[in-house]
Amino acid sequence: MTPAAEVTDVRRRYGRTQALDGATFEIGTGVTGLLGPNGAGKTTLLRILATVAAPDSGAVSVFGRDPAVSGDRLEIRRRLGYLPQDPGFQRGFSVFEFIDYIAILKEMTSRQERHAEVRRVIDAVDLASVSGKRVRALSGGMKRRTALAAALLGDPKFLVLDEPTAGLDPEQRLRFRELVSDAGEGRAVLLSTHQTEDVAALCQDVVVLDQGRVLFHGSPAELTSVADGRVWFAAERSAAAELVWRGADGRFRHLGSPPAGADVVEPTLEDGYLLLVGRVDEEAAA
Amino acid sequence: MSTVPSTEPTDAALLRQVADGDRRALEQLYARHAGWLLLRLGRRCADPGLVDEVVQDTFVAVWRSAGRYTGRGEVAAWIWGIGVRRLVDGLRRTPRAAVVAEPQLSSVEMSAEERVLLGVQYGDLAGALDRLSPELSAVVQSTVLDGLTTAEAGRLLGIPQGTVKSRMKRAREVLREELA
Amino acid sequence: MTWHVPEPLVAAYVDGAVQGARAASIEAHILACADCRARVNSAVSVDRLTSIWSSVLDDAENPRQSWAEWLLTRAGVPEADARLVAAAPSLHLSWLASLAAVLLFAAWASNTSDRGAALFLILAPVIPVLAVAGAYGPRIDPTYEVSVASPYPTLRLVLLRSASVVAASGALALAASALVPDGEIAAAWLLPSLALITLTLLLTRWLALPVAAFGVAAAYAVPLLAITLDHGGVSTALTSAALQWSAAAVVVVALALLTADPHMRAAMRRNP
Repeated sequence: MTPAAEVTDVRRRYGRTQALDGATFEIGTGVTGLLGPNGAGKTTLLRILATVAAPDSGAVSVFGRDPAVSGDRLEIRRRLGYLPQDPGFQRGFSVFEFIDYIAILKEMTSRQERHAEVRRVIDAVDLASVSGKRVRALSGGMKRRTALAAALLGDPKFLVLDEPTAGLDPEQRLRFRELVSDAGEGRAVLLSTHQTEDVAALCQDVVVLDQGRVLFHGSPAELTSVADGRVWFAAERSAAAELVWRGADGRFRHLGSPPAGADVVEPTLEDGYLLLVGRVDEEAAA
Repeated sequence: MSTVPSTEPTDAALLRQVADGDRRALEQLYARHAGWLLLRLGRRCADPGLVDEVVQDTFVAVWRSAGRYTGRGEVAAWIWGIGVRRLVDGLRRTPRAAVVAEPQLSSVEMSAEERVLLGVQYGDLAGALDRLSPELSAVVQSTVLDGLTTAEAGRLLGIPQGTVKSRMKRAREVLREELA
Repeated sequence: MTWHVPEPLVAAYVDGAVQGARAASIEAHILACADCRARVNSAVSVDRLTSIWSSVLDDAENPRQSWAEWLLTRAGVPEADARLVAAAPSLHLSWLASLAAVLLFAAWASNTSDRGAALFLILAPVIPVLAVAGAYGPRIDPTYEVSVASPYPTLRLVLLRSASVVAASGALALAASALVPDGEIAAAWLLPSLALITLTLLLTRWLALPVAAFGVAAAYAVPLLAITLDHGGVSTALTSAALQWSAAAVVVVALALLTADPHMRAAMRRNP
């Protein structure tokens, strides 16, 4: 099967920062999680795949088309839904008006068909009860859902979601995972997140990005197994561990090579990720 | 026969949700009120196309001005007030469509308030109304029962405002004589 | 209230067989009784109600036209394009009001002294360029990222919005110049302004719209303001035939380059 999206040795520099430093991977149908600490290059990578930014070097292909070629780029954009990291909304626009506006940008010129499609995506994210309300007056979770609805317009085959669950409370996060998981049926979805639970809950595939490079690409189970036999509990902090933090029961959770006789436990996806990245990202550990 | 169970939101609650931009609440209000409104307007206008248009305009107006409902009185009466005025406006554009039912009155249930408006508080009102001429009866119906102003009633019936006033005066006199 | 309209009477009412006061009685009752309303409702054709409902939805949720949208559609811009154009931040009244305030100040200043006249001649041409800066771009348009990733041609949006904000702010500048008594000064800002606008559009091949517009505006206004403050007015130079002719030459060359650009032509030709 041809991959939905493919990046090969992609590099991008912003001033003195090398945001992407030779990233290579491909994704297929289903939900792929892009994990990485802050500044790993996740947003840059997603913006390149969403055809908003261009790489300095390397090859990008979406559905076999090259975003650097203008005709191809248009075809990619026609099949793309993009939720940016910090979606903005026009002052005074209602939920319906905002999504209708994005629908025009997506080439839906016939008013009746457009409105029917706008209502369809509003129902899909369960926002009919606020469809006439000003977007800027909504809660953070509802704003995200509004932006997600706009990304779902026109049934795109490739969804790029930049930290869709950031800033949501646990209940909203659960609701959002459900929506994204539904969206992943028959589509390629690429979402970035700090949250290993998001990945464990809804991704079939994980890419770990750090300092602009791909550290890992595989299934969530494979990422978890990175920590097989390398997680143990002890009452005292041990110097042998790469990472140590105190758990809820007061004992210390250690990651690394266990000393003889340590109480080795079943690892989580987070353990695998942390061992891979080699440091505790503040937000990921929160 | 369908009833509204007590767990269902009241019309007033739905109207508040509509004011907040809730499309589903508008759909519920429509399900509760579009049917009777359509029939009642249809009795005052012979053109079904115009009636459909007026019902549509009425619910669009409900969506846009739900916030203006004061919370006093039946929501149904509020919606009727919007609907009948839209009908009057519509008839101004296509005046031939108006029909007002011939009065053949036998029994009528009227509130004390409506009796006061007519200036008749006692006696066999329905019988008296029955004996009014069709012209006088139509004026009584549109001003007292439909709640229109004399100007609006004139437009609905296709007669000048002055004629509405003089017929109303005449109707009051007849009723007072009959019921004296 | 336990009284309800008897079933045969409901049937007669919906058939139109009940007249006059009896009908009026039913109508008064159904305003207050949900049960009887529901029974009357069930007599109406579902198809008819469904078709009216779809028109209700279409009408109710259809965004209302802003004044800018109304003008644009009158000018022949397709409805969908007009919506995108009218969302330009610098078409908002708050933007236009602040531009108008600057213009009024400049028009007033032009009557006071030679320096004041220079101030008008420096500021008036820049106003439409500033409006262009606020038409589209990162940090200007809240949906910039999404609009770039959409199939709608970005350049078309840039050109349509620029033209609209130039028209709106140009109208303001024309109105302000009516307050300038010296006819020569009142007219002298026009050609330099057109030159700055066409230069800005030419630069959008390489720069984001706000960057190009602010850059052009600053390159024109900052040195002139500095000279005016140091050495007095430059109004004679700005109204001179030499300057006016060079501005006209810039406009002609820039327009020729713009219209020759196949990207620009493609963006404007597309008519959905």
